[in-house]
Amino acid sequence: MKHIMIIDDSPTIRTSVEYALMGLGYPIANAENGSDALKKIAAIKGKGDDVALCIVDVNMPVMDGITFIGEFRKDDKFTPVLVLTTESEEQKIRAGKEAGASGWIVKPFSNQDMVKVVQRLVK
Amino acid sequence: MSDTVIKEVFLNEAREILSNVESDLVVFEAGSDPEVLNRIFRYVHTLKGSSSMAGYENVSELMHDLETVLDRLRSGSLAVDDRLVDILLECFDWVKLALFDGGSAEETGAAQRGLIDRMAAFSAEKPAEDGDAAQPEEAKDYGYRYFRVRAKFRDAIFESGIDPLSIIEDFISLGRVVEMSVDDDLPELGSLDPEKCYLGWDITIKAPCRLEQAEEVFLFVKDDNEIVLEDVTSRFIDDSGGDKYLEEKRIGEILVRKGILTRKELDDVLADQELTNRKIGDIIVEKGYAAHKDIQYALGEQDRIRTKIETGTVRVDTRKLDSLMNLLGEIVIGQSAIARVADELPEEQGFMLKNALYGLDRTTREFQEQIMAIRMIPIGATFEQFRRFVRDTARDIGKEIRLEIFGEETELDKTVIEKISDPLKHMIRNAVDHGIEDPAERERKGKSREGRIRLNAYHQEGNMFIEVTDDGAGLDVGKIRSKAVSLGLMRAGDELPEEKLFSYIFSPGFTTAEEAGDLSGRGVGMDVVKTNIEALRGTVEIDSAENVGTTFLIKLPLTLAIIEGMLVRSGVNIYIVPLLSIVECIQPKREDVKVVEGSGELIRVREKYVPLVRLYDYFGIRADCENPWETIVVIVETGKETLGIMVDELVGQQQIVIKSLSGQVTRSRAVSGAAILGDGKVALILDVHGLFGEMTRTQ
Repeated sequence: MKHIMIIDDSPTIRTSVEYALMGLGYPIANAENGSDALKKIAAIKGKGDDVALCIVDVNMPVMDGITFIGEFRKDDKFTPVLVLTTESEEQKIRAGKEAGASGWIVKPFSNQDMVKVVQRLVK
Repeated sequence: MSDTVIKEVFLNEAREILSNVESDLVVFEAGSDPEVLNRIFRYVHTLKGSSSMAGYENVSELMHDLETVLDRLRSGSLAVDDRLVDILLECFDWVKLALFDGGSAEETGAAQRGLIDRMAAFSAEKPAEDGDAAQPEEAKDYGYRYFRVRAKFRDAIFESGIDPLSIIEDFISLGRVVEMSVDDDLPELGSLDPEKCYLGWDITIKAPCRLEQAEEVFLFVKDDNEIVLEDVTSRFIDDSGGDKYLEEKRIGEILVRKGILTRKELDDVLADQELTNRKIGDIIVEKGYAAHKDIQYALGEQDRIRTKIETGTVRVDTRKLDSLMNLLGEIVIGQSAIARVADELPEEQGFMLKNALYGLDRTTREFQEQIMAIRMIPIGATFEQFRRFVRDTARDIGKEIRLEIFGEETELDKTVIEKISDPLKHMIRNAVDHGIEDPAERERKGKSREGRIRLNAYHQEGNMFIEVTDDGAGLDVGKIRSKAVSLGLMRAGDELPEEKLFSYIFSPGFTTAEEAGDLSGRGVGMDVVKTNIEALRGTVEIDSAENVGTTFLIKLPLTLAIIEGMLVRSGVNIYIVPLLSIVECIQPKREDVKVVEGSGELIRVREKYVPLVRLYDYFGIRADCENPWETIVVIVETGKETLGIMVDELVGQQQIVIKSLSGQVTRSRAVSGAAILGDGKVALILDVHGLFGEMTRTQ
């Protein structure tokens, strides 16, 4: 079973993403920051499962989104990574892309937009 | 629902952030630790994102301003002083007020403006260059424009999880593809690296949007891939606004395909056309590449292509159709409410209103038919799936059977089709297993070795009929009789008509096969078949003759949502009898009513006696009149059964929207649902078939 990993320090955003994606049928895993996410992804893969997509915030304590993407890409080149940003973060979008992100979505997002973007990435 | 949950999560989060940020601000004021500032910045940033997500736009706005100030603090272009910390603290107080202390919109609005002004004053040296002034033009109507993109992705693009195809699809989804070519620069298979992208696209679309919107699609990939996007509208649209270049080009393509023009000649002609903007046909004739009549032929071809393209289809979620059907049902209910009002108006007005309603009624009916037509799909696909099934199951048990399919284009409500598939499978399985004989036996009987099962579907009298016919041994009347006796369904000496005997095979636990076969004969199946078909308000009948074969005839309504009903009154209650099952309504004579031992009350209808049901008696209510010869008897027919239903009065005929009843309301098989009448009262819809079953059971 492939999981969708939501990485954001804000429970509001995590819940919002989770609600938006509920209908897609993917099990959803949550992490509060990049290093938390790396650990959880390792655990998921350890159980023989995989990750279909990571949705990652940029600004987080402990390990930020950009660093996370870099770390994640070290041993997973192809799994899409979606960056959550606010409009003011164009340079972050660029940084995320350089680190290996596959797309981005701007907060606040509508459920439909989130579903559309995610479906495009995980199909 | 999700909104309230998200709000709740957000308020909890905000509470936590507010309490953290306050202490951090105080610490920060004491000794400008950059780490603390970063933390504060992150809190503000998080709050900005999550508040906008939870719908607190005003909080998000203020946090945005705050973020700008903090960003300048971090970069050192602003210095910390206690004035600033005051403002910051007040900002968070304001958030508390807005979120938790129920500050009125006016109060918080004024306070927010005050804070924003003070922040602006504090960072006055910074001009407000970021965005606000230059709002993009709002969606102006740009009509259709043509965009051409030539996209060649870097070969390692997959390594960032980007699927170029999805970007191409996004682009295409903006409008309609006009031209597309794929440049497949593939290496030899041996040296092909599946993790690399070799493809390039050249696509022109016609889309109702601006260039910026098209650019947006490629935003994430345009920097490090070769993407050229241009607005090529001028190439396609002439003064009249038609797709000139495209049309002309299509004619050319057809001529090339027909071998009238070579590719090189076409390029030559097109180049000329682009320059002179003349009709391509004229250029071709002028250059002597083709004769005028050949071009005429191509033009005819082009028209055919165009019509083919224009009859497009739309995929629609069936739930939308269902809700449309439901809404229409409500309209029908409303209509009958108006009709009731018309009854009570003075004659002339009532007449006029009724006349108007009559027109409306016709439209609703047509409307209903149209919606039903959308829901209808041909049954062919369902039939086809049995070909393989028959072949495999026949082969397993050493029989030779051919499945013949007729009427596959017959259309039926999608829901009905989905639900009829299983019952059909059961019947076909029975035919394969029990109906058709072994090849050797068939030869002995002088039949062909190969048995035949025929599926046929057709429409008749507002119903859909499906026949499952085999040319096998036919039902064994003797075996059915002895089995029915052993199950206590009949007495050994009873002389029953064949149909009655045949119908026993639908009884639970009934099987005549001495040994349960692999496929069927375990006594499950036929009763389930019957239940399933009845759940669709259909009936199933059997016709069988020894050594000729057996036919199952399934009759189904075309739709499940609306029926034509006859409203009848018994006492104070109104019941609905489906119009399709009504044969006639009579007032019996006194001498036509007989009581027969074992069969209950019968009435004579045209030299035939049919069982009489006293509706008031069945439902345990009080009727106006208890003598059948003083009332009206509705003669109903279902399958081969006829029944007289005794009622006080016929109220009228109307379209009935069926509302299903849950099992708690009634377990009676005589009631198939309920309907809301024009006056808001509820009426039960009689299930004639079920009523017959209930009557014969109680006797």
